[in-house]
Amino acid sequence: MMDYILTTNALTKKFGSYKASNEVSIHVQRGDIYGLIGRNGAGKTTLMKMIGGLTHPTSGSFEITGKNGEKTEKMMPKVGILIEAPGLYPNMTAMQNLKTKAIALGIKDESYLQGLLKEVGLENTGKKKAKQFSLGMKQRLGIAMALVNQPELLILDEPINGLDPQGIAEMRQILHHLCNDRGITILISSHILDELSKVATRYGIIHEGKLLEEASKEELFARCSERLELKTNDITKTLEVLNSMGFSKIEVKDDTINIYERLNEGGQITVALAKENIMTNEIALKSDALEDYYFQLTGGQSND
Amino acid sequence: MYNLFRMHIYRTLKSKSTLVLGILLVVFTFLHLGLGYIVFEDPLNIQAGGLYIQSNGSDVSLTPDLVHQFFIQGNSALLILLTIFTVLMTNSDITKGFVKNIYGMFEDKGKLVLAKWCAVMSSVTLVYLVTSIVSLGLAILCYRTSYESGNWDLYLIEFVVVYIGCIAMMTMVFLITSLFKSSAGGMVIGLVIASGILQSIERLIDVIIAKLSGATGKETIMAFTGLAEEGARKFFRISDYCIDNVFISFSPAMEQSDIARTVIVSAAYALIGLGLAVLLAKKRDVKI
Repeated sequence: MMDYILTTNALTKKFGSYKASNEVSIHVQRGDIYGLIGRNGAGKTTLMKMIGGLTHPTSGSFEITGKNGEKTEKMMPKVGILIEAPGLYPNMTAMQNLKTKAIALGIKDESYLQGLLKEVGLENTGKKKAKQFSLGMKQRLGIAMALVNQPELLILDEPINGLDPQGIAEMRQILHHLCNDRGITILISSHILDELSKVATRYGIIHEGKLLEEASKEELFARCSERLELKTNDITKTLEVLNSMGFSKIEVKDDTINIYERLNEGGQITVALAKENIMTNEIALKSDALEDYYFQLTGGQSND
Repeated sequence: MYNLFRMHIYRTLKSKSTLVLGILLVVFTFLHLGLGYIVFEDPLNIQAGGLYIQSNGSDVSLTPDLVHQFFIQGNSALLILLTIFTVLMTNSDITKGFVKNIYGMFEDKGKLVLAKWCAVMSSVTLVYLVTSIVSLGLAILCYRTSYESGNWDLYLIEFVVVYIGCIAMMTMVFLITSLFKSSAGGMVIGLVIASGILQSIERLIDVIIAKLSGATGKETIMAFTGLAEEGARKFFRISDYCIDNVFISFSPAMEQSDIARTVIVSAAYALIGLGLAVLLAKKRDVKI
């Protein structure tokens, strides 16, 4: 049985008649870095806000399970969030910002807070105020803030937005450290797919408030990898023929059959189909980048 | 909740605006002290000083309740600074987005509001206490009075009732700021309440009610002045139930029933304001 730290059940948020989140059901396993993919306005932030307790769902529910099997409400203090820009007091230092949250949670150990600053590489900021920080530093402080309550689940909304390449690399390093060394499960959203693909181990693709697909990194990359795309006048018969030829890595999507193995046997497939009086409308070797796959799924267009 | 309260106090102490407002408070207290010379040197200026007493042109003894009435109740600068402080303290965790860091962690969102209200009102109470004591002391030093003729019973009534009124007004400012989630909106409406600008409108409504009820010319004037004189209670006065008017019009020399009304109205505003703010927090989402 899967060890899920977070499951949502048809989570919906309506603003008037507009559904920002439409019956979204995601499943986040413990230890995952779960990447939420979606363009701006797809509903990623709304979903995260609901899970983070900032927004009341219109309908549906979610369940966060702790290590000891504790559920939702009791587990909320074990969720760390960084939604959009980090919420910092600009006239306070990094330590003072952390201390403010720590006081609210009854944490008195300043060395623990110092450790958090070290973890995100801000241990030497001293009396520098948050308003003087670079965007990357602010984001890292935002993560430290989210870590104050020793979360089991960390929710990060677009944490790499606006960062320079070095900032992105540092953020990636921090995320790997938190997941691998501290065992924190991370739910992260981004519309920079290439970057997300470097950290996430599982994905949920959201479009117009709906969850279109949920897949592991391997599954998703398999779908993006090279394949034979086949269109015929009879899908059922075609599948029978392909089975008889020993093809097993097959996926049917609408009127297209995707074959992920023996990609050089296109000719044999066409002949075998012709023998069974099946007309081949189209057969082509295709491969996608994650971005292409995303656009294909959402019906959008890449800028290329 | 105690930890949340401590958090709000911590951030208030670290805030630059607290320091600025503190400095302004000291400056305005001394300016008010200067104004005190003009007012207390000439009893004819008493009304101009915002003191609702009958001097009849004779000397006015400087009693503790009079000093409190002048320095605290009639000090619009103090009320305006307290309003600005309340708005900033109520709104800063929202405008800065800090609320996102803690909001989801507390199942009972009402506790978040309650803790913040307690922190704001503790600060208001501290300012009230300090300015009350300092003004009593400054009055001795600067106006060479020893409060020999002072009526401390009246002072106690003045001190307590004005304090309740102050808390009620700041609770309304707290509610309005929470409602609008904007410092500007909260500040404008808060200042309108605290400065008593609405009084004219309330009194105008009183006059209309009195006229519609068949009031004579004198009765209409009494309705407009809002004085608690005999006959003034003949008609319903909406201003008797408006917090700004109740606060500004209060005098410890009032009849007991009027003092009781002032306390009840103030307490009702404070409780309803706080209740609505808590309810609002439970129902609303965090939008940043």
